Amino acid sequence: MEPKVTIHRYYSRQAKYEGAVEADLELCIKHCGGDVVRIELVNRLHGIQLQRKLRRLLLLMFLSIAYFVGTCGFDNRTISFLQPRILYPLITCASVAILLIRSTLNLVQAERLFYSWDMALQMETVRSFGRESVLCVQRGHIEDIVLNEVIEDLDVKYMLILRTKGSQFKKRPIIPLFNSQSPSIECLQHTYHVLHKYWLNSTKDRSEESYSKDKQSLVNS
Amino acid sequence: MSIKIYLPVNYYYLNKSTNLYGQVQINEDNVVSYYVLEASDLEFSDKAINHEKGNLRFLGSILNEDFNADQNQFLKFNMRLCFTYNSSQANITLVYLGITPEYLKHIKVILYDKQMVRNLFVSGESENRRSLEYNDNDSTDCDFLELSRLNQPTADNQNKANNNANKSIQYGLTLIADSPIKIFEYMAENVFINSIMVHTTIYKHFKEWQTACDKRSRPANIVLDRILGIILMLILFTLATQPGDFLIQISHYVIDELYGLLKVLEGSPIGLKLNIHLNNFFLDCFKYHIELWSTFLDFIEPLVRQVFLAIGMIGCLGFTFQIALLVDLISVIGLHSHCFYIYTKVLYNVERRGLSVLWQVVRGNRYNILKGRTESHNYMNRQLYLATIFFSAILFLLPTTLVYYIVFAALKALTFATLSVFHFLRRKLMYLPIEVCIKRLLRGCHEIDCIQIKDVSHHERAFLMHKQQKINVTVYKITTL
Repeated sequence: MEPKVTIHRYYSRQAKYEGAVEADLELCIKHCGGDVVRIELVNRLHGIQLQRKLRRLLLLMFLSIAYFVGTCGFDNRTISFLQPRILYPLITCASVAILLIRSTLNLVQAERLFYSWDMALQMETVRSFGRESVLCVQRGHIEDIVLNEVIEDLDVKYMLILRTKGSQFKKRPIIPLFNSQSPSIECLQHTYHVLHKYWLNSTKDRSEESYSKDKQSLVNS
Repeated sequence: MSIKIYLPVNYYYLNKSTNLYGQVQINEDNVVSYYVLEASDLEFSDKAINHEKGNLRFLGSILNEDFNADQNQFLKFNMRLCFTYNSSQANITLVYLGITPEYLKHIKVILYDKQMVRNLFVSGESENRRSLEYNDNDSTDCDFLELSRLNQPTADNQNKANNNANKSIQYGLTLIADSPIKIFEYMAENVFINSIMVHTTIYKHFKEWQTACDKRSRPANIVLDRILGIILMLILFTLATQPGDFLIQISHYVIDELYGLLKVLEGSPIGLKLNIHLNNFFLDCFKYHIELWSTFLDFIEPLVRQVFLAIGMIGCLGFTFQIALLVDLISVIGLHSHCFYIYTKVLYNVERRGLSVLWQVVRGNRYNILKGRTESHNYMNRQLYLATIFFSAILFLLPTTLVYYIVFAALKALTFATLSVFHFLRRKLMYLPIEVCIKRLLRGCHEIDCIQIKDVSHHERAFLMHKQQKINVTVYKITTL
């Protein structure tokens, strides 16, 4: 059985507020058969965002080089880094550069979710330059998957939250899913329905099939 | 119903007949998990297959594709799993499963690396708690925890004679290692010594150390503590030619520094003009104390030379004991500066209180205790005269007292900060999870939350034929970042 793949496009919250014409998030749901599903949320504008950040970094480097060359000149006299006209701009440029590099590295390219009813739920975040971070919640630690409304900074947004249980997750009772790219509520609802269907359908189907099997055996006997 | 087969990666690409051993677990939700843990070569000469290998159960075999077996053949050998291999494929293929209900549609084969699974640990928990965690309900539906537990290396109990010898040797080594702490405990629990040592830092640390040792929670910390303590003890005894003089010299150095500090205060510190008579009184009093302390040091110098060797042997107990002893020594050496701080603090508080009260009197007010407020009052002339004299005297003496108070309060704060640093270092050395850090550095331990499940691609789709029905077999692989 070939896996069934469905692709949908949604707006992120920032895109909605900006009034973007095209959807910037692509939701790819891959039903692998049985009780396994793979969901991938891709940021279609990641390349543009990365280029923008890199351009800002290059502009900062160019401006800083121009300033220091203009200030120090081409003389052979010794230059001390402790001079105020060199030290303060140097610290400022370094701080801004660090902030720009940090924001560049934190851009999210894609978020992948692997859910298997009898195994685990795995959340994988791919950031700029292919850096990955993985979180795996085993089957026994999954309590429920809910769609929650959150009010933050006078803004109402929705979060898909994984409720956990067990001693290992006492300090993390809730884990947000697909939170880095701020998807809209339509995307979250779609994801929630898919996950919840797998969460409930497995138990329900197994119970019904077992009951039917037992009933058939009883009828035969 | 769901069926999962956990298989080591190296067995998945095996091209020879092999017996598989492991465990089977069936959960309440009809989730069947086969944990393949070990394998042995299959010998066709043996008619009966060895069904027991240690604590593991016989699960099945990896056979050649030419082996034409039917259901009866599998049942005869009491197999639960059967894989086949051939020359055209690099990996093995599942051909038989003991539990195959009609409504089963999907089988998962999960490949794992034995070494990686052994090095899994739960963040925030010690390694010793792994066995206790099995009784917890968390591990019921957590396959990775179960897999990690099953793959832990087990101790061999075959050589009992060697075990007895090892036990006796370990007992002897433990007795030798614990003898210093036993001696210290015997000395500390003495009635006469206990009344004095209860207030010392080393006794408090001994109690904390005893509690940590009884819990058996940080064995690596204890070993490291002992090693560092012995090394430092040897260094001190080697470098210091006269160990007793070292302590005396430090004490005299502290006394000289205090003399220098008082000499600075004798003049006009930071341009402040202090009251001459009060300043002289302070200086005479403090110098007398320092002279008394110096005389006391000269008196106990022969005793220190004899006792220092015993004090140095504290290193056998551990580095943390040495730090605690250092804290006590600093407290003893700085005892006089602490007394100076107390004197100036009391005097400063008295003057501050006196000023606040006399200020009200000079302004013609008084505090009504019954009504709880300040109200005006007509004082007599002689009362105002005395209040003015005392207020003026205290006000003019306040800068001198304030300077001394600030100086010795700063000195006290510096000493307290130093002691706090040593206290923090001692606590960190005792409770730092060194074992986990070492495992992470050397063996590359991974947290169980960072497991990554990946698909293993097939050049052709794998399935299992059972009663004219295809059951899909999907292969996954467990890795870590």
